[in-house]
Amino acid sequence: MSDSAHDTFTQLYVAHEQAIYGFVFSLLHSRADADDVIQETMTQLWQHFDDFDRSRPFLPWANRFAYRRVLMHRRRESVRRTYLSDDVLELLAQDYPQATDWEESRRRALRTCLSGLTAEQSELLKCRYETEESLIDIADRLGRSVNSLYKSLQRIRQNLVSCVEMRLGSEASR
Amino acid sequence: MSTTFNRERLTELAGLLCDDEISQEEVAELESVLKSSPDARQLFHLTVAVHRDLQFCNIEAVDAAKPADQRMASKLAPSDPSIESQPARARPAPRRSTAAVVTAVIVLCLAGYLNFRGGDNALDLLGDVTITDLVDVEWADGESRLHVGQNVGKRRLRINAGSIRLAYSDGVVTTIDGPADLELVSDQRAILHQGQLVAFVPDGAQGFRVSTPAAEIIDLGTEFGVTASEDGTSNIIVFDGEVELSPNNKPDAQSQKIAAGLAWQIDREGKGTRVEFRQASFEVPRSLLRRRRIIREPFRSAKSFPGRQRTGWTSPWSLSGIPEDDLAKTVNVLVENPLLPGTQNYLTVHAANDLRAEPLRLSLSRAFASFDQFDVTVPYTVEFCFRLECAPASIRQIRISSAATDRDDIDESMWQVRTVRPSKDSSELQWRVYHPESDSNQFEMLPVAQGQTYRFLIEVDPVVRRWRMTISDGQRTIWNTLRNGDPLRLSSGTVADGGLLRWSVTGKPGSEVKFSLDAIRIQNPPLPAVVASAK
Repeated sequence: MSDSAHDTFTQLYVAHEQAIYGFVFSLLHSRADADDVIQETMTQLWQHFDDFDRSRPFLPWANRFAYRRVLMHRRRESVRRTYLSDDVLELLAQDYPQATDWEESRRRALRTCLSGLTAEQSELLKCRYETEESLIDIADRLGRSVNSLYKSLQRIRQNLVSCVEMRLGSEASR
Repeated sequence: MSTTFNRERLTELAGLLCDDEISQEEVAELESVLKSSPDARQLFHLTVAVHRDLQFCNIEAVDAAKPADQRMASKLAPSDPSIESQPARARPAPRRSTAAVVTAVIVLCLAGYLNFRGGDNALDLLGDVTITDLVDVEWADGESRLHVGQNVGKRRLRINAGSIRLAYSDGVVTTIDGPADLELVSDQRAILHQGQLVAFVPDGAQGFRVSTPAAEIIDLGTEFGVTASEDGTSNIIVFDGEVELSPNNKPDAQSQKIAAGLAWQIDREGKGTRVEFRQASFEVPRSLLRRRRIIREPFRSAKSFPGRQRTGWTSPWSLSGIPEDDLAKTVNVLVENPLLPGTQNYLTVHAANDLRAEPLRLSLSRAFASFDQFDVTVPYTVEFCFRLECAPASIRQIRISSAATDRDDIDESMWQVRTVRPSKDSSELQWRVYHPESDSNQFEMLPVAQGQTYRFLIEVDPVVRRWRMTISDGQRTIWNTLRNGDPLRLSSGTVADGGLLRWSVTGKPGSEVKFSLDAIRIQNPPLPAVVASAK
């Protein structure tokens, strides 16, 4: 690959890395799995960049490679994790949001929605997502049952999803 | 439009999936909802994305930014006692009032959200799939006639007879042999409703899937064949590598790996039986498949020219003119009057020279030797169409050659054909090759006319160092023979270096030069063993 092609690849990849990661994560729903697949995807993209038609958008081309790596990864890991069927995965891949600013808009909306949580809800999210403390440990520490804690976590996430969806909707309609 | 679904339940199931806490029953429930509605899939993506965002965003910072009276000062207190009392993982039915409010809000914003996500921008999982060969194809009634070089896209291909070879952008190559009905779904999946298919899947593209009514075959890096019969039976044969085979109609059946040299039959009930390995029945599509090293130049649009380096070519086109200065050159890809029926576009090169003292020589070249490991050490063929767009009287000479280097020097060419004039003062121009039946220096001639398309076929055999040139204008064909043809010149470079094609046209001083090219194809013929065994 020439220096200019190398630079072009780097620019395109950096500009779309978050979106590719989001696509992979949505199909694998696991950070560890997504990290593995992203590494493999980047290698594939690099190797095939000469075949990329630069008159076309980069993201769909890259996501097709990512999808292939996702399928292969799932086959390797199917014993260890529960995955949706290939047919459903195909539908999900086709329907993944392609708007280029989806990542940023969604995160912006989530930040706003997070600021509306109660202190208790924020603390539970922090325990779950920042300390990666297990639900059992959190429940034990708080003197609550695991089920009740999980139910609370699910409800917070549902409310956040609704809030983010509403904000994205109003943003799009402006 | 999509069916309705319980949004709260969907986000709950998606959350369980993300937490790896989901049961098989819940997976089935989630899949059912996701299959039923694009909106459900959008909500699933959003839920998973929020789950992901929560892993990466700094919740503490967001919390700190809130007013002091909303901040958490101490550890969590037990929450709603009604939730506390719920049994383990027994999620209660949604409270109707809350669910109704949430649904109402979502419905209000749904239109805007759908607009935001860009409904027409769904990811097309099928990249470029190009028809690279059509052999005696008889299309099914109502089926569009496709042509070589066409990007097929997501569609069904139905043929009554003949063979089609398809090349995927990641190197996967499939051929189908009619009668056949093939549905292209994605880069990774095709559905063979009926007929015979052979696939070659190179390293890096493993996972390519072919579904038939009876079975699903997942490639693990190999070459395999599959048939889908009208009675619902499928035969699977593995020529090389390994595939994973799953019966479709027997949900409890385990998939199994089938190694090279084995063949299986799956009936419509999903029952699998090992059968005799008979590759003879796949030899027609397989012989077409083995022409996998094909270099084509489909001129798709003016935007991608000049200097294009894609569709597998490793180096860009090179265009040079003598004299270098003050030479107005144009290169275009045009859509009208292609040189070969069935192609969409062709390349035209036009240069004007105002200098009266110097002839104008315009050379266009393209290197192909290193294309996708194209093998120039074994026999290969070069095909293309050429058309002179200016008057032959204004041309001194046309020369078409293959060389080891990009020097426009006649001594460097491995093989070449050029035009001559019947006499010094003649305005006529003729292609000239050695007479095929003569041992002496007798020639076959074919006049060069303005606007006439000439098809060239050059067969190169580096092993015996011979080449043969065939030129046809549609009415008349001239050729030399391997026996009497010029020996391939290998002294100035290795065969591996010698994959450079050059079209060189020299005009008279003060003249214009204009010519066109189309349908360039370079390929290794089928392996002799395959051809021989197919007969």
